Amino acid sequence: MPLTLKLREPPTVPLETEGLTPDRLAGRRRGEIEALTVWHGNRRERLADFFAVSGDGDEELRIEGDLRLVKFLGAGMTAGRLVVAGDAGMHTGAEMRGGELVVEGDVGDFAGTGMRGGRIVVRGSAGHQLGCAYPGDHAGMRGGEILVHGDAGDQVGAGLRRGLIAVAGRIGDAAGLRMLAGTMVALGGVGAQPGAAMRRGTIVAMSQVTLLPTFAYACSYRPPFLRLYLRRLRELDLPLTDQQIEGSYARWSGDGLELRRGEVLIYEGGR
Amino acid sequence: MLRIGHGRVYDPANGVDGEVRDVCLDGGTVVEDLPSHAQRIDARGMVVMPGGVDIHSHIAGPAVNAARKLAPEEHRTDVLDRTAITRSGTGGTVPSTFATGYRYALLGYTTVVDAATPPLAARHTLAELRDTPIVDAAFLVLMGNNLSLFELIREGGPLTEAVAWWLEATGGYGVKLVNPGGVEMWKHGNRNVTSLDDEVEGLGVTPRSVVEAIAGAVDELGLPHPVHVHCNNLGVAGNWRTTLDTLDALEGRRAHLAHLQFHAYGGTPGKRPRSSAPELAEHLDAHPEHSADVGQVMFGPATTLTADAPVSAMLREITGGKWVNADLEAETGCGIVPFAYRERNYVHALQWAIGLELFLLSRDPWRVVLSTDHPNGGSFLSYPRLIRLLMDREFRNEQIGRVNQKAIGRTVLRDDLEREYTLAEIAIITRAGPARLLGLAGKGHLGVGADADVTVYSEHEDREQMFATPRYVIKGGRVIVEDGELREAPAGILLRVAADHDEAIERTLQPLFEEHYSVQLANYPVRESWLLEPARRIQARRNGSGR
Amino acid sequence: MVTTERAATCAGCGCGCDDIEVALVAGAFERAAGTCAVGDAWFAELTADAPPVARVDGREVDFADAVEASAAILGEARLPLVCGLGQTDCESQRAAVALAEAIGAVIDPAGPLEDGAVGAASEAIGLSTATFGELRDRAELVVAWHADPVASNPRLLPRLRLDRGERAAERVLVVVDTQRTATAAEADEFIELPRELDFEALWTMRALVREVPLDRDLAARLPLDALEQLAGSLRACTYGAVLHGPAGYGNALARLALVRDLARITHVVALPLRPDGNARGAEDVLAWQTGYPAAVSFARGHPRARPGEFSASGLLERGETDAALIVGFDALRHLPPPAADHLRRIPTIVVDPRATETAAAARVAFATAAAGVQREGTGHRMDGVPVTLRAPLASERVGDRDVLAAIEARLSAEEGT
Repeated sequence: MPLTLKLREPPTVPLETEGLTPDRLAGRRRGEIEALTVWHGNRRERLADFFAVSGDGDEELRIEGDLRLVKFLGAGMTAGRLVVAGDAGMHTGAEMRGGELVVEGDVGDFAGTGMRGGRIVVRGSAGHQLGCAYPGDHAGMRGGEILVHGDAGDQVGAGLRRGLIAVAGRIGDAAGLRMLAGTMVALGGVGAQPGAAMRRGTIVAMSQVTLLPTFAYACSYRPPFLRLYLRRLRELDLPLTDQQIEGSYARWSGDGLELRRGEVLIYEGGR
Repeated sequence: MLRIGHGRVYDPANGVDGEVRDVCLDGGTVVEDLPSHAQRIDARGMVVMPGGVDIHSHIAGPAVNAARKLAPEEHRTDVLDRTAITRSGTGGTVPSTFATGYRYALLGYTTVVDAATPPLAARHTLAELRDTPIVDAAFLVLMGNNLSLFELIREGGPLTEAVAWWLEATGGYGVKLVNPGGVEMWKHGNRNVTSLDDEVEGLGVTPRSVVEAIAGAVDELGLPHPVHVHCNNLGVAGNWRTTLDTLDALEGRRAHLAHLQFHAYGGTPGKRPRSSAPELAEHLDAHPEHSADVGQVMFGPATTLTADAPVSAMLREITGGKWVNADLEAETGCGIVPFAYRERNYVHALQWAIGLELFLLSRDPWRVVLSTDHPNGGSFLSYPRLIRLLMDREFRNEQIGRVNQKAIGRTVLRDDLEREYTLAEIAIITRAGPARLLGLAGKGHLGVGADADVTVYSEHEDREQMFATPRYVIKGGRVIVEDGELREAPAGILLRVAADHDEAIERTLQPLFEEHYSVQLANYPVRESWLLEPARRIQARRNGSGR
Repeated sequence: MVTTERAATCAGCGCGCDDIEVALVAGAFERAAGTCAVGDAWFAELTADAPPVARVDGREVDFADAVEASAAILGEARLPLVCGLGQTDCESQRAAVALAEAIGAVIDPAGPLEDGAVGAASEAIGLSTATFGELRDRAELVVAWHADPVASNPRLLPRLRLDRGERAAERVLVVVDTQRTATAAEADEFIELPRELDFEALWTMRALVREVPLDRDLAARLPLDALEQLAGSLRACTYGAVLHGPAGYGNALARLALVRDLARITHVVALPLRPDGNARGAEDVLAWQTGYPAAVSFARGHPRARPGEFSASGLLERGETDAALIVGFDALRHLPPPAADHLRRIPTIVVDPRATETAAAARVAFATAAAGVQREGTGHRMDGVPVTLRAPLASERVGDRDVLAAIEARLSAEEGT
C-alpha cells in the first residue's frame, strides 16, 4: 500500500499544507511525517493531529478524505505521483514543477497557479482561475499540462505563457485573458470573451464561440500541429473523436488590441 | 545613560576622523561624560558614526501608497512576520510603512526626509509617517505647480507669506519644486515644458520665474533647508543644459538639486544620451551655495514614482507595463511605473556610471550627498553596495567591466578614476552632509547636545557587508538594533519647520481656494494633534526680521 | 432655545463634502445645511436614538464585559474575519488592521457595493485618475459609464459643475447605462447598453480609440455608431474623464485599459464612485500597513492578499471563517444570502454607531460615537483626498477605534499572562 495520508475529519477552517508532496516525503519515516507542520487557520499544528499516516513506499503518495478545505495540496511538487482521493481545495498544484498530480474529485480555485512543469489531472471539475497568475504577475502558468475531465470556471489560463490546459467540459468567461502563449483546448462550451487581450498562443473550441469584435477571421483549415495535440489528449483519455482530430477549424486571429499573433480555432466539422 | 566605549569615531562635523574615544549618551542627547556605573557598549575595533540621514527618499503619502498597491507580486515574496516588538509587513521596492521604518533602522539610518508631498494630501503623509517606526521623519512640500502660487508670482503678490502659510498648514519641513510648470502643462493635453523660458500656457509664468520667485521666498523666510529642486527635462538627453540654466538662475541663492544624475545627460533630445556629469560637478565645485543628492541608479528592480507625471508617461512607453497617473488639483501630478535597471542596457549603464562620476568627480562631499532617490534609482537597501562602489576601487572596476561598455565609453569612468571614499567621507555623504544641508542641528553629528542617534559598525573589508549589518543602532539613546536584530521599535518624531507668517495671507488665499480647490480653506490646514504630534519644530530665521 | 451652527464634513458617501453646517438646538441635532438626500439620511441615522453602548446576546452589559466577551471570541477563533470598515474613519481602520494582525485574522473592506475589483484590476495594469478639482476645472468631456451619481453620490455632479444648471456650454456629459437614469436626465447624450455587453462595448471602444480594425458582425449587438462617435469625441478632447461604479474584475480591467489607451492620445482619467464614506480610506490604510488594498490574511503572521480567496463574501460563502468582527457594516442586509447565512452560524462582534440588523443579531454589539458626527477623525474621499471629519455633536460614547484598541489591549494582556 502506498504512503497514505487520511484526513480524519473536515477541518473547521482551511488547512494549508504546502510540502505534502511525494518528492518531499520520499524516504521519510512515519514519525517525521506525523511531526510535519500544517496551518489550521492561524494555528501551526502537527500533521498527525489531522491526518492518519499509513503505508510506505516512495512511488506514490495518496491523500484521502474530505479535502475541500485543504489548500495547497501538491503545491510546489517537483517529482513523483500524488493522488488526491476526493475533492481538493484551493491552490492545488500551485507552482508545481514536475511529477503527476491526480485529483479524483473536483479542485477549488487557483489550481496550478504559476505552474512550471509536470501534469495535473482533475477527474472532476476545476474552479476559477485554473493555471492562472498570482496577483500582479504578468505571466501565469509557464509550463506543464493541466487536464480537466469536468468543467472549469472563469479566467482559465489567465496570463498563460507556456504549456497546455485541456478541459473536457465547459469553460467559463474570460478564458485565456491576457494570455502570452501556450495552448488551451475546450471540448465543451466556452464562455464569454475568450482570448481577451491574448498576445500569442492558441485557444481551441469544439463548439460555437462568441468572439470579441477585435478578433478577425483568417481562414478555415486542418492545422497539422493540432492533430498531434489532440491525439495526445486522447491518449490521456479525453473524449476526442477522429472527426475532431482530422477535422477542419476556423482560424480567428487576435486579440487585435495586442499583437494579433494569437488564434482561436473553432471546430467546423469532420470531412 | 549609555557609554559607547573605545570606538573609532567618525564625526566629521566636529572634525573627528577615526579617533578612538567614548561617545556618551544621556536623556536622548550626546553628553560630555557619564558616571562610571553607566551602561556601556564596548566598541573596541568598531566604527562609530552618527545615525544615517537620508535627504531624499519617498517613503510616505499617496504616491508611495499607490505604488504599493501596484506591486502585490513583490510583496508576496518579501514578507516580515509579526513579532513581540514589531508589526508585520511586506517589502519589495516599496515596503509597507512598518517595514520601511524597521529596514531603515536596521541599515543604521535614523532620519529620513520624504521628498515630495502634495500639500492637499499632507494628512495622508502624516498618517503614514505615524506608522513608520523608529526613524525621525520630515517631508518636503510640493510647490512647483501650484496654481495659487503661480497667481501670486504673476501678480507680485505676498508669495513669501503664502509659502510660509503652506508649510505651517501641512506640517512640512521644506519646499520642493518638481519640473516647475511642466506638470501643470501635462494636465493641458499631456504637454510639458522643455526650457526654463517656456510659458506655462495661460498662466503668465515660466519655469524660470517660478524657480526664482520661490527660491527667493525660501531665502527670505530663512528656512533651514534651501529650495529643493527637481529640474525640468528629467531623463531627456541634453538636459544638463537645463540643469545648468537652473543653477545659473539660482546663482548666489542657496539651492539643493534632487537626484542630479537624472539631470546630467549630454547629447541631443531623442538621441542616445551621454554623460555631462563632469560639467555639472565642476559647476557645483565653483558654487558653495549649491548642493545636490546624486540619485544613483542601482541595477535590479526599482519603482519610478514621481510628481513629474510626464516622465512617467515616457517610461510607460518604454516598459509597456503598469502605469499610474494621478492629477492632484491645483498643486501637482503623480506618475508611477515599475522599472528594472539592467547592466547590459546602454541607457541604464550610462545612468549608473553618471551617478558614480558625480560622486567621484565632486571635490566637496558636504555638497554632493548620497541618495538613490528611493525607490526610483533603486531601494535604500542598496546603499551598502553603493558605498562599496565608492570605497573599493577594485570592486568598482570589476563592476564597470560587467556593464554595457559603449555606455562606459561615454563617461570618464574608463579612465580608472583613482578615488576611493574614506570612512570620513562616507560619514559626510550619508550623515553629516545631509544633516547640514537640511539644517538639522541635532542630526548628523556626535557633538555635545546632538541627538543620541548613533550607528556602530564592525570593521569589515567588504564595505557592503559592513554597512548592511550595523553591530548597534542607537536612536534617541535607546539601543534599537543589536547584531542585525531589532531590540525595540519606538516611534520616531515629526521634524517640521516653524516659519512665522502674516495671518492676513488667508484673506489673499480665500478667493484662490474658492477658485482652485474642492475643499474649504478652513479645513485645509492640518490641526489634528494625533497627526502632528510628537514633533520637533526647527525655527526658520527670517532675513532682516531677526526673528 | 439656543441654536448653534457647527461646521461638519459629511461622510454619507465618498464625496466627503466638507462644507456642511449642522444646526444644534440645546446641543441636540436639529438639521444639516448643504447636504443632499444621502447626507440627510446619514445624519439622521447617526443622530437617532442609539442602542445601549454594549450588549452581549442582546442584553445590555458593561463596556468591559463586552470587551472581555469579544476578546474571548477572537482569541478562540482560528480564522476570524474583520470586515466592513468603509464607514469608519482612518484612525479606526488603523486600529482594525492592528487588531486583525494581532488575532491572525482575514481583513477585507470589500462588500457587495465595494467589490474591490477596481483595485484588483489596477494591480494588473495601473490606472489614471484625478481629484474633484481637476475634473471640475479641466474635464471637457465626462462619461458616466454604468454609474448613476445623481442617485449614489447626489452632490458629485454639482460639485463638478456637471449638472445641467451649472454645466458650461462647451462641456459635455455622456451617460452609458442600462436605462435612462437620473444622471442620464442631466446628460447631453445617453447611450443604452445592457450590463452583459459592458465588456464587449469597452473592448470595442478600445479598438475604435486606437483605430484597430473591428469585425462589425461580431459587434452587431452593440450601439456601434454611438460608441464610434463617443470614441471620436474622447480622442478629440484635451481632458476627458470616465466616472464608473463597481464593475466586477473583467469590466474594471476593460475600463482601466480603455482609459490607458486614451491617455496615450490625450489626457484622460477615471474616477470610481464610492458609496461608502471612507471606503477609499480603508483601502489606503490597508495598503500602507500591509502593501495590499484589500482581502488580506494575517493567519500566518504576515500579510498575504488574494482577491476572491480572502474577500469577505467569498470567505463567508465557502464557510471558511469561524468568527467575525464587523465594523460599521450591516452585513446581514448587504451580503449575498449564502454569505449572510454563514454569518448567522458563527459568533459575531459588531462595532457600529447605528442600530442595524447585523448588530441586533450579534453575539457582542458595541454602539459607538460616529466618526464625523460625534467623533473627530480623518476620511479619504473617493478621489483619495484626505478630509478632516469633525465632531459637531458631543457624545460620552467612545469611537470605533477605542473599542478596537480596547479589545486588542485585552488580548495582549492575556498573551502577557
